[in-house]
Amino acid sequence: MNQKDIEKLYQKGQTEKSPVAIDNFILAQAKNSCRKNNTTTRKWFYSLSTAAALVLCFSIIINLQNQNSDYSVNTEILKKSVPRKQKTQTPAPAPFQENKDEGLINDEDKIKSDQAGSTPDTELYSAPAAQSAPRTEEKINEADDTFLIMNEEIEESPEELMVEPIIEFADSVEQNSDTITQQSVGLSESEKIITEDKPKAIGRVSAKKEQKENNFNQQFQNVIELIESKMFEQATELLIQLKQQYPDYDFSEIDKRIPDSQ
Amino acid sequence: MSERSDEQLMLAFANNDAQAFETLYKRHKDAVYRYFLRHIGNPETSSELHQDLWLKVINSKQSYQIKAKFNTWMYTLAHNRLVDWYRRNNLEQQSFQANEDDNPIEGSTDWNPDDELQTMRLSKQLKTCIGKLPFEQREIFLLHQEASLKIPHIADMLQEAVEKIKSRYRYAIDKLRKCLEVIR
Repeated sequence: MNQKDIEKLYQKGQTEKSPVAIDNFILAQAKNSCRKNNTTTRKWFYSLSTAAALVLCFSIIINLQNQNSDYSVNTEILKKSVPRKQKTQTPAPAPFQENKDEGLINDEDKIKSDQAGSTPDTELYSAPAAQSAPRTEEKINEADDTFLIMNEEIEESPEELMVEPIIEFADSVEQNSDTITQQSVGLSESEKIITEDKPKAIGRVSAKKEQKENNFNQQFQNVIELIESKMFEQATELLIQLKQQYPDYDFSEIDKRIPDSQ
Repeated sequence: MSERSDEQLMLAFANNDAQAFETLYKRHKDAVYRYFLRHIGNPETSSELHQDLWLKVINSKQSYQIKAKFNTWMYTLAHNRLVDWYRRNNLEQQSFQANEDDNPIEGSTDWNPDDELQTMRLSKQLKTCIGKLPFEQREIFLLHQEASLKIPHIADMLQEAVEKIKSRYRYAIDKLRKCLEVIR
């Protein structure tokens, strides 16, 4: 028997096989290890996606904060440009020139508003005062509150454009303010410029306002003419109508001029 | 479709392909089991070592790199596990005594491969003779026969000279031949 015979004989006797139980155990272990690794991979993906989501959220927040700071600058400008101290002053009626200077924006504020780009709401707010439009303190306060609420909304939601709040503010001013005299009595040159530079966004508001002002002024003028012509009864009737139409307006000065009413 | 090599299967298993491991395991499981069984002779201990080895293969999948044949890598692990077992059981002196100066047993035998009864009997005798070989000669014989490793690969694996391995193998064959004659 040579080497090849022995090798061949050995190969023929290779009949032993590994136990089936151990085979199953080892294969199960192998599968488990694959599952564990898959789970590890999944965990890795979860952590990565969480990190990515966090980064995204933070970047959005930071971006919003940056925008917020930009808008807050704008709102600061708006706040500065609004003449808060003058809001408590009751403007005198336009026809009486003795009070024509009341309610005017001081030069400093006008300069500020000009520097800030003369925002429309500022002009809207200042224009009635400048033109000595009739308004009560309550209405002014309401308008101011509206403006403050609008500012808060702008600060809370800076993503919204500034145009819409401005229009809303303009509407509120329109509702709260009474007629504005078209006679530019007491208006300085800079105020005229401001009035001329009203943006298009408030154009429709100005048209309504003008119409309202015209009506008021016309009726008011009629009352004065009737008083001057000593037609007090008719003047009284017209004045009553005016009072009904404009209950917030202070007609005390005219009432003094009608003997019956006194 | 050509079969994937052992190395490709192991890399696939490292990428969590359990099916690749199953193929690899079925390809080598019996040879590895016999390798331990021929050395130790005890089926239970052989099963234990067999299980330990494959668990080590499973745990080493991430660190596996193709630096050598998969067979060489795996039987290196098997060899180390076996040596550990011998040392743990205080059998190292006995097992590593490569008594190459034993007097060869005289005699010869004629084997007819077509005679199944004789083949079975001689095969059983051969296994007994393998168990009687010194550890180093038995190791080389089993690595060559079960792991299908060539002499140079065995030399690399055991970090021995090729000629030394060749010599040991030749001695192993001679002893087995003479053992078979004596038993007969």
